[in-house]
Amino acid sequence: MKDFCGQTNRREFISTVGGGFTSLALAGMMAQGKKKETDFAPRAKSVIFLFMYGGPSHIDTFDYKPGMKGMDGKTVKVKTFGRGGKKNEGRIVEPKWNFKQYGQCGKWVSDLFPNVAECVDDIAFIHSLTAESPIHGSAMLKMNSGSLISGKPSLGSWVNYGLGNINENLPGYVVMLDKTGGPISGAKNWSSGFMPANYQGTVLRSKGDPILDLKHSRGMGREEQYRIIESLNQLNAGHLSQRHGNTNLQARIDSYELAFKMQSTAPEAIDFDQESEATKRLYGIDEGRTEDFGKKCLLARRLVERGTPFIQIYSGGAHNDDNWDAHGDLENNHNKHAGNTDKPIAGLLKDLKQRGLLDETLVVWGGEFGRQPTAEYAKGTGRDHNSAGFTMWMAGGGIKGGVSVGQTDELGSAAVENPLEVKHLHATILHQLGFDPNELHFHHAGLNEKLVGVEGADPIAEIIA
Amino acid sequence: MVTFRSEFGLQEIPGQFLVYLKGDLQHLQIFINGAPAHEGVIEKVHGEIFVPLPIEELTTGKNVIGVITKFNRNRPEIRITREPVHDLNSDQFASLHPSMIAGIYGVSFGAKMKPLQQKRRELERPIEGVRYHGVREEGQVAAPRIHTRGSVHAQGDEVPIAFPAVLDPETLKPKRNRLELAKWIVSPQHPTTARVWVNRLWQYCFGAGLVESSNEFGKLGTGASNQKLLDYLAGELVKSGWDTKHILRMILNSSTYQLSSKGMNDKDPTNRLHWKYSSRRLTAEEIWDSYLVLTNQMKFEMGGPPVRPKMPDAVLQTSSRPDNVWRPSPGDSANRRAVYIHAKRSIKLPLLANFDSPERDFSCPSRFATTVPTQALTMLNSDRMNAFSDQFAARLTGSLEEKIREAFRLATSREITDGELHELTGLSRDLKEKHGVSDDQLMPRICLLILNLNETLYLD
Repeated sequence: MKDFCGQTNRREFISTVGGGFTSLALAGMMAQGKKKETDFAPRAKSVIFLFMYGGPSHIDTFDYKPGMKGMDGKTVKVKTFGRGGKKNEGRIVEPKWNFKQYGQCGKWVSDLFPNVAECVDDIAFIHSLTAESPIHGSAMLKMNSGSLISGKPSLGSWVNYGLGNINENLPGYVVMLDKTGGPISGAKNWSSGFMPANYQGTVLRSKGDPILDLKHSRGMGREEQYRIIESLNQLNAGHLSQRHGNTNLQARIDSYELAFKMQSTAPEAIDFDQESEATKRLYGIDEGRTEDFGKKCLLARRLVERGTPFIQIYSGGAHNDDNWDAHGDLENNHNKHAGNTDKPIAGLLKDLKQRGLLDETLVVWGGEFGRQPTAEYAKGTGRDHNSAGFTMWMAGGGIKGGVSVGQTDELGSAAVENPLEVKHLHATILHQLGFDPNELHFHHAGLNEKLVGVEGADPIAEIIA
Repeated sequence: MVTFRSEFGLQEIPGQFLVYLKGDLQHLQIFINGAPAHEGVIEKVHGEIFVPLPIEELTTGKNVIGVITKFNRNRPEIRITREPVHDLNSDQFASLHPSMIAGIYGVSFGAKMKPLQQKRRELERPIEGVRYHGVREEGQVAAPRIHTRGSVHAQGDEVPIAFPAVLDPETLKPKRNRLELAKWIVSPQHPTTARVWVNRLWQYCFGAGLVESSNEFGKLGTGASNQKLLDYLAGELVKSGWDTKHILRMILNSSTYQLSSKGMNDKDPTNRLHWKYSSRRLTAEEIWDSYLVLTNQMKFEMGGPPVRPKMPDAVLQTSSRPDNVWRPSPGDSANRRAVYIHAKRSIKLPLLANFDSPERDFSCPSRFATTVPTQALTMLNSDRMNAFSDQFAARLTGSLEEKIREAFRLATSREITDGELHELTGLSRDLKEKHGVSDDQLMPRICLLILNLNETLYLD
């Protein structure tokens, strides 16, 4: 079986058998934490994906449109496509926040993100992303799994599949949700799709019990539980002794030891007591409105330190103004969500940097799409969805700082210079982790499925250091 | 919270816009075309209310009205008038219908639909006998066109209906409809159909098919480990009149199926030649069903609507609608085979999701059997598993030793050995003396262990 440990052989092996029986043993083995080689030297060991669910408005945050100043209320001809359908003209809602220049690079950032703005020299902005669908459900799936249609493995699953799921003490793919609830389509967004279940995301909570069923539901003590596991393993060992060589049975025996360990390592990961007051302040944990997201960002750093390869944090959950979906009152909505997250996100970037972790941690920020330059309704400042051009940014993990790639038109309605697709973002993430995005594949239903699709995609070279 | 959404058309913007709601209403929110139009706290049980709404959000053509009310399990009845009306009582309002009410869909939903639905159910009641699914061709089938690069909007050349010539050029004269396709698929001469099906049956019994790539019998597939056996079983299937039970009986009565899973052989370590039984982990559904049977709770009745077993709160919280995403079935009505569990793509029972129950978006040729520590957490700690343990313990009788023997026999289908019994009695002594476990909690603890045994979860 030793041939299967090398990654090339492992992938070929899976390709040959598909989901066949022999791969069962393999999946069991892979879950046991054998570090796999990457295609080339990785620049990033971990990814923290800060998902601004609902779709933050790019022209009110990082995509500076000075030409729109003074246009408020003017009806202009502009093609838009949102949940309200396709329109050819609309009433301009000019960006509602002032922009200032920051950093060595002189990046214009709005007053929504004064703290993140201090980190612009570490950030690469992608202003010309497109997402194919202007509807939350499908655009979420697109951003998380590369496909509008559900059933494909999510980004975190691909990362863990590529790496061979190296972490034993904690799940390798962690998702933290907003306190108002999950995003639309729920578990579909962290599903392992047609891959085995060991690559699916694990929902982690920043308070209480971090992982589902981490504590015994009836309060069984630790020593008592260990005693039961001891006897369980004893009986299982007897069963295995007549079937030795069965790696699946051995893996199940090991999993109880690992689960027992996880019951102390997981609470330890969310125990912030060892963190200094200065660190907590940096993340905004001392302030009411930033406490929740700040804790999640701090937890993300602690998971990175513990080797977790993929962490996703949601800002916004459920529906309507519980997330960035500003259809009604743009100012209210974005002041709320940016205000809750600006300081924690900046704190995360600064903390990673001061600990020397930013070099090997790729931070990704963005939503499933952006928002339109025009108003959705006759009255008010609400903007409809816009997937024809929007902004995301990346920092750390071998990404160039202080650069911007691509442009939208003067209203921010569509990408006009260097339009990029979600698959280019995915390709860049995989590339920084050491994978060739056009090689990393999983054989399913007669096709070598890839995160970037069968047509492939190259990383965004302009932002790679 | 109950959300109700309806569409209605308007040819012109009315001077006044009034909505009539009927039903159990509390904390009412109304949206017109996505914009909040009304919010108010009211308390009405089987009540009626007239709500004047602003007309600014209305557009000509299609409009959408959304109503959210608290604690209302029924769809509220919504009527909309576009004429100027003042101070109407309900009788007067009702008399407006239909001439003064805009064309809306879903009017009087409950009242009108109920008798119709009842009638439909009566008409659909199955006739005694065996039921088959059927398809019927109707009218002229439109000539399909190529959709360039998969886009519905980019129509390319017309493609006449035919089978791919590569499959069987000789016998494949142009076929015109699905009936001919169906006949071809099940014709005794068809080279693949019977082989594919018996291979699946073999896979269900042994964990892997004679052709391991059970969805790929072509060039990309693995080929058969025993072609003669596959051909023989396929022939038997056709001869028996496509009798699946006949094939299953042959397989399950074979000495090959009854082989032990013990032993190791260097010449064929992966056991492709079936010199022993390759033990396989039960599938997620088999595990669920086994636990319901072991705990004496399984309801074996067939058919009917899907059921929703209790979903852990922590899992509900991952939904964008935690409060109403999953209403558990009342009482013990959810204690049915896993095949009856409601399949919801956005939320899944941990016990099923953790043991590789597949996503529903694609065909799943064979199951994975992954092992991760979080499975063990659910298996040891979850409320569900500990409830199973209580229920398992409750059906056992006699002394502690007799109970252990019975539980072990039920779970593994064999008698416990002296060594194993010694281990478990030692455990129960330790739990009692060192960990202060009370007498009534002792057997549930041991049952939890037995439900976790590899031997319980694996078919040997």
